[in-house]
Amino acid sequence: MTAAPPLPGDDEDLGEPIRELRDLSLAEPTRFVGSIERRVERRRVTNEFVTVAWHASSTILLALLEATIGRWTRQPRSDAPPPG
Amino acid sequence: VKQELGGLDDNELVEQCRSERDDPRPFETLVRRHSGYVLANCRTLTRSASDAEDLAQEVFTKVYFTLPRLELRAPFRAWLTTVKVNHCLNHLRKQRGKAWVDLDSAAEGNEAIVATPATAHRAVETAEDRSRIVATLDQMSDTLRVPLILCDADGLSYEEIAEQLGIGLSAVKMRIKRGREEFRRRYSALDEGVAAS
Repeated sequence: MTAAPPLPGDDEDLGEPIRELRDLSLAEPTRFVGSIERRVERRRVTNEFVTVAWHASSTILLALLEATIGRWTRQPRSDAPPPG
Repeated sequence: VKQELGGLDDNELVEQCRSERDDPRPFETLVRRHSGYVLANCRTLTRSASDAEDLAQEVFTKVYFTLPRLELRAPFRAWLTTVKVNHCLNHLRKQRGKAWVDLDSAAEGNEAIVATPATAHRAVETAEDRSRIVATLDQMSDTLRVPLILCDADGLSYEEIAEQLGIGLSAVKMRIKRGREEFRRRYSALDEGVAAS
């Protein structure tokens, strides 16, 4: 059985790195930082809205649950013996 | 104050961002310091200037919201690179809706590339150089371009690239080798075209 031919790269000789890629940098477009700040602000507002909405809905749900449980526990049972 | 912030290293700026959340200047300084690199990288990975700007903005936005719970054990730039690479690769995957494994098509017509001399070894000095590099990368297929950028621009190890792209280590090495050869061949061709005109 003959051995499979070595794949390129198996000998670790992958050629020299392209130095230009390491140094590559593009000019920042105008208003780049401003756009990021607006994105941050939008996301912050969205996060706050979601948090408030979550708290509000869970508070309402809890209150409803409490009311239901409270009514159920206060209700007199029909099979209870008559008073006296 | 701007000058003072400029004198701080990245990790000190990250600390400032965390301790003074209402002060936007430390984050601005970080953005300005790394925007050129992130933009260039997003541009070469996606081959689209408008996508690159959007992606770069999304990367920095993500960075901003991760900073408060970030534990920096490595340089900030390494972490930024990870965020950027993940974001760009996700974007490319969504865009193409397929995996990266089409090595056969990338290997076509590469026989003559192997002997190409390494002539593309100069510092990036001018805007013309930069646009030639970007144009060279734009001509390359994703299969060779993406691993090449992850390796030579982002400095990821072969193992990290294999993990990111979901391919084997030998495939990564093969793509990087071929990518370098193709880059040099195409860059030289563009260089000669410019010199001749």
